[in-house]
Amino acid sequence: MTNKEFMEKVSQKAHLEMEEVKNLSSALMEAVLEGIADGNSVAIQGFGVFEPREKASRKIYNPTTKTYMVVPSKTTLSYKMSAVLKERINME
Amino acid sequence: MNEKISFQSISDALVRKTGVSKKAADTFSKAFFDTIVESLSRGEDSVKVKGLGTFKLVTVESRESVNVSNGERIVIPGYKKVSFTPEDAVVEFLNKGKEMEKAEESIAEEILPAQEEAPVVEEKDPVNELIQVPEPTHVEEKQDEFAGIDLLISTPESVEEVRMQYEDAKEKMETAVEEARKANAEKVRLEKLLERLEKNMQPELEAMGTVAGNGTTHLEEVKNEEEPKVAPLAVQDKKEETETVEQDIAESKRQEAFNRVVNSEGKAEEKPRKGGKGFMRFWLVTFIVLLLAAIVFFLYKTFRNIEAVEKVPAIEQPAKPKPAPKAKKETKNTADGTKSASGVKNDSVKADEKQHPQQPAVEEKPARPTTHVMRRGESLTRISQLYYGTKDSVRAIIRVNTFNDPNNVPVGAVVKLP
Repeated sequence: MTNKEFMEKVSQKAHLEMEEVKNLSSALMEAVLEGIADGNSVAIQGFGVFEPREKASRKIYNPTTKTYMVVPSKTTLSYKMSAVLKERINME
Repeated sequence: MNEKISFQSISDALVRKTGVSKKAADTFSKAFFDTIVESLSRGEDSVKVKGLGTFKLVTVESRESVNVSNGERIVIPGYKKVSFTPEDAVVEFLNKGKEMEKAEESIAEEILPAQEEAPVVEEKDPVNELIQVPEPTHVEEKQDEFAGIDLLISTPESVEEVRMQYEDAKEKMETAVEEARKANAEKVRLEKLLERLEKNMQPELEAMGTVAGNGTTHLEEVKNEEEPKVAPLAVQDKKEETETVEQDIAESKRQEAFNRVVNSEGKAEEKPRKGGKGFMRFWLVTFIVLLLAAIVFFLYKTFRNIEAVEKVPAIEQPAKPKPAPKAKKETKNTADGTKSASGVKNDSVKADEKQHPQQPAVEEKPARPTTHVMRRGESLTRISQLYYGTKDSVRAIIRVNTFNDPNNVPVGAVVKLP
C-alpha cells in the first residue's frame, strides 16, 4: 500500500479532506519524531511502541581497498508491535 | 529522556502544532493508526507512510524448541509480525542533533585515524587468522571423507601401470616380430642361394661324380648343403625364441592385466599355438585386439566400481516408505478398471487394500534411517522436511550432530538423525 492509498483511507475514516489529512499526518509525524529525537519512546495504544535505538559504531573492512573504516554510531527508529496488534494480525 | 510518550500527549502536540480541536486531533490520530492496523490485518503486505517509514507484514516460521524445565520437545508455532523500516529522512532527522556533537568528535577523530590505522594493520592478522582457522579443519575433514575414494582413484594409476607394462611388452613384441621377419627373409634368401648352388653344382656334380667318384663331391655337397641347413635351423630357433618371448610376454600380461578378467583369460588360453608363418600375423593381431578389449573392459569395470561407491549413499537414502502406498493405489486403479473382468478377485484385492492403508503410518518410524549422507544441493532444512515432514526438526538435527557450520554442511557428510 502506497502513501497515497493510505492517506485516502485515513481521510475516509476520519471524515476529513485530503489536504487536512496531509497536514495533520505530517504534524503527527513531527510530534512523534520530536519525541523520539529527545530520547523518549512513543507508545500508541493498540498499535505499538516507537523507540530510538542506538547503533554502536563499528569497523568495516573494504576488501577491494583493503582498508578498515569506521561506521559512526547512529540512532535509528525501532518499532515493536503491540500484543493487541499481534493478535489481530494472527486471528484468521 | 527515556520517558514514555502516550497517545494522549501526541494528540496534545497535534493540537499545539496545527490548532485543530482536541477532538479532531484525537479522531485523526486514532484513524491514522487504525488504518495501518486494519490494512495489515486485512492482508496488505506493506503500508508505506511518508515521513515515517514502511510497515511490513512478516511471517515467522514455526520452529522446534525444548521446554527448559522438562526437556520436552515443543513446536513454537509460526506467526506474523509487523516489521518497521524507518525512512532514511527519519534516521537523518534523528541523527541531526548527534551530528552536531559528532562534528566536534570527528575533528578529534580525524587526528585519530592516523593513529588508528597503525593498529588496524596489526588487527588484520588476527582477523585473517580467525577466518583461516576453520578452513584447515574443514579441508582435513574433507580429506578424511574422500580417503576411501582416493584409494579407488589410485586404481586407475595401477591401470596406467598396466598400460605402461603393456606398451613395453608391445615394443618388445614388435622387435621380436621384426627379428622374425628378418630371419624369414634370411631363410628365403638362403633357400634361393641353396637352389642356385644346387643348380650350379648339379652339372659339375654329375661331371665330378662321373670323373672323380663320390668322395670329394660328397664332401662339397655336404658343405654346400650344411650351410643352408644351418641357416634355416637358426631361423627356426629364432622363430621359436620369438614365440617363447611372445608367450612369456603374453603370460606376464595375462597375469597383470587379466587377473581380474576371467573371461578373456579363458579366450587367451584357447588361442591357437601353431607356429606357422601365416598364423604369425593373425595370432599377433588377435592378441593385440584381445589385449585392448581386456584393458577397455578393465577400465570400464574400475570406473563402474567408483560409480557404484559413489552411488551407495544414494541407495541408502530413499528408504522412505512412500512409494508403497502409491503403488497400491495404482493397483487399485487398475483393479477398478478390470472390475467387470473378474469381480471375485477384485473383492479379495480390495479387502487386502483396506487392510493395508493403515500400515504405512505404522511403518514410517522404523523405516526412517538413522543417518543421512549429504548430497549436493541439500540443506539440513531439506533433510528435516524429508524425514520428519517439517522444517522444525532442524534444531534437533543440529543438536545431535557436530557441525562446523550448520548452514554449510559439506557434501558427503554423514548426518545423524535423531
